[in-house]
Amino acid sequence: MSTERAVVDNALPAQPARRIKSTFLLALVLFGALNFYLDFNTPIPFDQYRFPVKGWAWWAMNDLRTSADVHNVVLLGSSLVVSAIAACDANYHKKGLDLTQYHKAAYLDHRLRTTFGGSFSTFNLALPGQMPSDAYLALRAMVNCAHRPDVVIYGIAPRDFLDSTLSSPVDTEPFRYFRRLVNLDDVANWMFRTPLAKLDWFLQRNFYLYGKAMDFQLASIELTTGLLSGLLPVPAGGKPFTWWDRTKLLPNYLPGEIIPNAVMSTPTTLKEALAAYSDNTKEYQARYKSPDPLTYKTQIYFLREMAKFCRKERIELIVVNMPVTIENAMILHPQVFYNYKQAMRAICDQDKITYFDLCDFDAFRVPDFHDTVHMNAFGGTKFLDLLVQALTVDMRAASALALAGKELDRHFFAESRPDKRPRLH
Amino acid sequence: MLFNSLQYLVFLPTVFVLFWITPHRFRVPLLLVASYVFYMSWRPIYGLLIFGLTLGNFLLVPLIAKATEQKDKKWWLGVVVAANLITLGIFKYATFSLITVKDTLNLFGVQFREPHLHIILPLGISFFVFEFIHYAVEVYRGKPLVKKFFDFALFASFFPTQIAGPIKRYQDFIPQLDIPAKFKWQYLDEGMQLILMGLFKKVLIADNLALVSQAGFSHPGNFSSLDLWLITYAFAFQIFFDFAGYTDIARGSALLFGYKVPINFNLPYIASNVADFWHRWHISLSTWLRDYLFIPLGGSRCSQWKMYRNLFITMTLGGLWHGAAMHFLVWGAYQGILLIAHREYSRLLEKSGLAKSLLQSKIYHAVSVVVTFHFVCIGWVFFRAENMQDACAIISQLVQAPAALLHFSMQQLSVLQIRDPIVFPALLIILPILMIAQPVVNWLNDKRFYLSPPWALQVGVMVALMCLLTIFSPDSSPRFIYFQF
Repeated sequence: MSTERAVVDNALPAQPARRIKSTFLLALVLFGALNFYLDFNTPIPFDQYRFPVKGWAWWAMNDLRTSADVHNVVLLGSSLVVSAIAACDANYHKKGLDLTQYHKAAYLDHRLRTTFGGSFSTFNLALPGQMPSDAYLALRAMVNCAHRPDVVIYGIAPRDFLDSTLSSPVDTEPFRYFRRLVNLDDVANWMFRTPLAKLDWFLQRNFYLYGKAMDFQLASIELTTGLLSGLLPVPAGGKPFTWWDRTKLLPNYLPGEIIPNAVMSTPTTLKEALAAYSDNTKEYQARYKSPDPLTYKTQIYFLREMAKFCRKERIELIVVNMPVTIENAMILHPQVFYNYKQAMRAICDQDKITYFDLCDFDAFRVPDFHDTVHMNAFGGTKFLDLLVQALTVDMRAASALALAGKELDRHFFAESRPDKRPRLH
Repeated sequence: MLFNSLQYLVFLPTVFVLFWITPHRFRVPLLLVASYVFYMSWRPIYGLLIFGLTLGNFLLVPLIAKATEQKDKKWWLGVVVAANLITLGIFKYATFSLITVKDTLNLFGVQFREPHLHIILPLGISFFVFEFIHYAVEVYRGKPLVKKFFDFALFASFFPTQIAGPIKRYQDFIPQLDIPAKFKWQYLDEGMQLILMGLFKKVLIADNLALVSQAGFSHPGNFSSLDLWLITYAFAFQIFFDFAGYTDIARGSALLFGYKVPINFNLPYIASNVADFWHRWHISLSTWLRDYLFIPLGGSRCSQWKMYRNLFITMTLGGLWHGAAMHFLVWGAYQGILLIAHREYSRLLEKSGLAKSLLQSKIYHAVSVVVTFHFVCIGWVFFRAENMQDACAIISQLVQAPAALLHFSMQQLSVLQIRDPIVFPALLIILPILMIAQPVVNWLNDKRFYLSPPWALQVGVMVALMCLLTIFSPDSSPRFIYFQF
């Protein structure tokens, strides 16, 4: 005991008269001043598109940014859209598609072209887990990098508004990336729900080092990697350490990261598709377990913000209620599912958004799905056929698409780059 | 609420300001409320547990003091200690006990399916239960009672030390509450220096090394014996910086209110033998085990055999205190065996009459430090491994290292193949720096450098730490290792 007490007492030795009142306060002031100075005199130009986790959102934006193609249609939505389009296109192309690189919708383009004439080049910006708040940010990020589409087709489902496993818009993987690309000032109150989240946002906006922490981290990792490559090079002849090895060793490190060839969509026969059906009811029971009214309200707000943004940018927004199995819809209370459908229709009417409800339990049955919500190649094809059919019937959507097709055609001819025209299948 | 969270960054300054603007008589209730807010921010219902235990101990312990007969005193002490241990046992050891019973019965061919208890371990229970037991035993030994309930409640729930210690002594802590302290800038400066240093240890060192130990201990088969030594060293420093970082933040936070809590670490990896290690590692626990387990069992004032028995029981139970799992029990037993072996070795040296000059030479001391560190590291394998099977597999790999060194090539080091996370190859630079840093810090301690560093240096270090912590604080830092105990 005596030694401990002595050590404890030594923690606060009698100090000589101080020249300054508090070293900590001085340090705090200097730290604040440094941040203030850096805010106005940025020493390093950081690339906002760099991100430590190369997830779905990063790959999509990377593809979009590096592509010289003009896209007149963009698809938004969650994995329900990703799955339907990718599976359908894999069968359409009769080859496997690497989903880190492939963000097209070739079958949809073909159907639009044959129905409305002109040229169509769709960019699939749908991302697994995408909620309306993410879709809104994704669209803004797309427009920010000079890729304004003419038409947005946005596939929604109850999960996008009711997911109990996501308590706030900032919990999703796409959000973490898109927040770097889009100014959130006007929607910050809806994005950051808790006082702590709001404080975090405030600190990121106003403290240079905190706001740019990720950029500094990336730069320091790069610097360390470079130094270590010189000092301790990878020994020759050893077994290379791959991304697959890393995900096995450290499953929680950089969650959500994917690499080329990690997620493939391959052509399937109907027999294979039926055999591959898996029941994900338990997952959706958890997702629908306790729908949070605030999450619902927040996501509705972002759907409406997207409509507002589209109006401002003169983009035609088409919202599609995605097909799910009746088994999935039954997990929700029937009244909840019905209310959701009614609410979507009412909001779209109110905001003058073209809306199609393709969740038809007679048209889409279990053989059209991978699981209770994700469509397979056959469901995907059926979905796109029905979608184009619906688009034809709706005068406003049809004329927007016809105009978009013509515009792109005109663009190709004006550019005199017939090689750039999408091939007709 | 984690110390390395934004929540705490708001909570601590708020309580700090409120504390110093509040008249002295309201400070204890204020800290008490703050401590319960801190504790209940995780799982509000467990606030009732800590309150219930506090009330129970506050009401029962005076019965020990009031009892006139020694027999009655003993009886009441037994009741209090048993009540605390049963509570700890229910929350911490019930599942483990049922599994052990099941495994034992299965050995004899008896089928027994243990019920699933769904018990969530309340944070810090092992720490505050030990503080209650300490209080009861000290009162039994004739020390004064705590008269004020609020003081006693704050002793148990004081938020800086609530979750992972240091385990306080009430004789040291309670008197500080009565002193009407005036604010001193020194409290703020020294407290914040400790907090920043603690966060640095946790966020920048321990959390990065955690990636290495997580990979190595969950997939030992993927690494060579030399890699596994590096991974074991990495864990040795991870657990040290994690816990020492936590303790620094706890001590710094307490100091902001003018309160001192005991230190927990004193450069443990420069210990020259395992007994010395336990004088430097988790000091508040080791002294608790000495005072309330080893000495009541008979201590060292008995026959040698009994003393070794006491030592072994104390360390084994100390191991089990860390967690309800066989590998913690084995780790504790291993420490007990090391301490016994050390005593025997010391006796042998004394008997052999080896030249005193040799034993006191710097070379002998340096070799002792290295050997002790390696024995401690082998212990960490039991501590960190996910189960006994993994621990044995890792140790059987570790012992093959001398043979691997005989035909050493860089290709043997899988850590050099891994470039993401970069901390894997960086181990070859980080670990020697951390190892050398220990004697260097010790030398600076001897020179009493830390007692009066130049103010410009203090400010510079603090600004640098603020910048580093702002940049490198991850979105989701892992919890402190000792939170689980």
